[in-house]
Amino acid sequence: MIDWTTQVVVVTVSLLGAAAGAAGTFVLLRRRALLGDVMSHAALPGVALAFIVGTGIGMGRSLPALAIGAAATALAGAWSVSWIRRQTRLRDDAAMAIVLGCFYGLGVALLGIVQSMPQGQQAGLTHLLLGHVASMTRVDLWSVLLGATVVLLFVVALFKEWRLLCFDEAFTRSIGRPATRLDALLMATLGVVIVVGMQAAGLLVVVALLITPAAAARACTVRAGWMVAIAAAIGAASGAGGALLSSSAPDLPAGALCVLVACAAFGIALCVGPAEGVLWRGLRRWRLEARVRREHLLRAMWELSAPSAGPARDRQALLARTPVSVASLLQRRTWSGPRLQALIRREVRMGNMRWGGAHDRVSLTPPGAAEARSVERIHRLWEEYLTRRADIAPSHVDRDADVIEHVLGPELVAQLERDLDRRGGGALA
Amino acid sequence: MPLIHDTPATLPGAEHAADAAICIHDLTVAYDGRPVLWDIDLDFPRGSICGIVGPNGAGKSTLLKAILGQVATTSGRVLVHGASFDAQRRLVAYVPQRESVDWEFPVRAVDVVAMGAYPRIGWFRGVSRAVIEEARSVLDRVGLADLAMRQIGRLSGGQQQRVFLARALMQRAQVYLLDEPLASVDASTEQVILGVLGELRHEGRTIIAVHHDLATAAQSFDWCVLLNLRVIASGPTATTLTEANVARTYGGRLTILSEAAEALRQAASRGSA
Repeated sequence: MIDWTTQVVVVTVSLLGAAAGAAGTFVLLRRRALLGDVMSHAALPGVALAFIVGTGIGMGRSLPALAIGAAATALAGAWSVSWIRRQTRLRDDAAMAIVLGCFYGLGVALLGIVQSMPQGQQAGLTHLLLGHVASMTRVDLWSVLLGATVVLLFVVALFKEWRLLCFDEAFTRSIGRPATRLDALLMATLGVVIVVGMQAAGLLVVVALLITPAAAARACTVRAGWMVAIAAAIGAASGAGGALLSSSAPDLPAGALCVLVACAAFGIALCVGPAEGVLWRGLRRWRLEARVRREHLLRAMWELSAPSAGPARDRQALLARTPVSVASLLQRRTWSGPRLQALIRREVRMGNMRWGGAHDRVSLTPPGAAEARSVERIHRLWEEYLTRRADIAPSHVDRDADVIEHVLGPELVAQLERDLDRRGGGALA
Repeated sequence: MPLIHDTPATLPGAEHAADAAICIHDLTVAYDGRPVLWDIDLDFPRGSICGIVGPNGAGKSTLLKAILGQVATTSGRVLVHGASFDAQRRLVAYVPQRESVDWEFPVRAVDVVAMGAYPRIGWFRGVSRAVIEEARSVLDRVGLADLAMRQIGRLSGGQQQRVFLARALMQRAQVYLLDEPLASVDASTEQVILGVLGELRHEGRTIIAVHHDLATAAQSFDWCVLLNLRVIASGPTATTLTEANVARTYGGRLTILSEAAEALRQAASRGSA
């Protein structure tokens, strides 16, 4: 049975993970993945400063003061990045690297001062870096609960506008939506996640749970709404998974385990994610390559086995009987002997080709000839189209041979066929 | 209607400004102290298809952004249907260049089109089924009905441009500002876009498009603005898109030299006579 402390930890960290995943999705879509890093490192000096000042005026370690300090320097860090970008010729990545380094250095220096103070040892501020998930308190639970609720409410209320902002900022402005304020709200939401997350679970966990679940979700869906939901779910599962794992293996720090679970989720999504999974992409490419090779074979057969004259219908009948030597096929294209053999065997199985003699010659069967003719026709039509409209960028032509009529429209295809006939002397018609 | 206001004497009166779809007066835009648009005075008549033509870096896109209030202007004012852009925002639809957004973004074509209805939907409300249905029918109008549910990155460039046009149609605007809508699109997309723009004009709406291709400008637009830092010429295409005006737009310095040579020749022939 899971004890009470562990239950608190599991609930808190999974809530934090859900909030981080949801907010992180927009940060990722806004292409500011590193900004979470910058802001969480920039929060450090704020916390340390708040502790030093708080101790100085006799308040001691006051949680609200630490939170305010963290939020203040985190937002100052975010603002510095955009200021450097606007005022200099430096790009985003350079600006972020500079700000992160400066604020983190300042934070570590101030933490050093805190450590040297008599009250500093008990303050537990070093937990801010690596986390102290296992020793989470009830106060942490409440602050995370509050913070996560606020964040999730914002995400739900502003989903439509934030998605618009991330997709097309110029359009957002043109319809009168306050893009700058929406952006500031997004940064503030990110700040909330970082401040409550850092106190409860440490900087490492927050940074990892912001971007990794969002990136994993992107591989699973092509819709922003689902991406937010999936990222929140992955974030929550990572938090809960890490906390549970560490309760059964107390030597391993829970924070690191949360991060590792999130990374594992990302790895799995990257491989088998239904939208962008590497596995499916590889499969699609493999299928395309197989189809291209097969079309090459059919076209080579069509070219080699046909006499140059005569009406096409007679040719087709004739083709079924004209064998072609495998050696001449081999020279026709850059394929290896075994690969060509495999291709031919496959077509023979499908009934499109048949062997002649001692497997050194092949010929097209009537259905094979019909298919070869259609493949050749579509290829010629595309060629015709592309030579005529050379000004078109290749990415604008979905060169899927089967759907030429879909892409170009039936009238254009008919026109291209007429042109081909006129020049090609009825070789295909 | 005066085409260009060369002097302050032809300053448009209020009733005249209300007449034009967009009335720009004395507009100057500068980046880093270098002017990109200089002393622009322009009227775009209502119910016309206007082309803004000029070489690269002539300030064509900047002119659109200045109308939309998206660049800081050094001087000047823009009136949309007789009032400021901020007051008339709902009357204007904007189609940015296709390259201005990340097409890998996780939305479907129909979601992008629905964005055109956001001003009507308002804050804190989701996109209703009715809006999605309307977006689908607008996609049908640009010939993309069967691609409505596809992620935008899996559309061809021309299809992406049509999605942007559909989003603008969704805005039900009176004035359509398009930045290079025909830049490197396929033939069927070009037909669809020009067809839709023609329909819009027929309904009395105004279209203002930045255009790169001088060769097709004459048949695509009934009103032309030749722009190169300043307005070189503006008016009905037939009288504006003349060889002389084009030469002044695209080869300013060369033309000044040849004008000087022409003047010298004339002076010489007068002297010998």
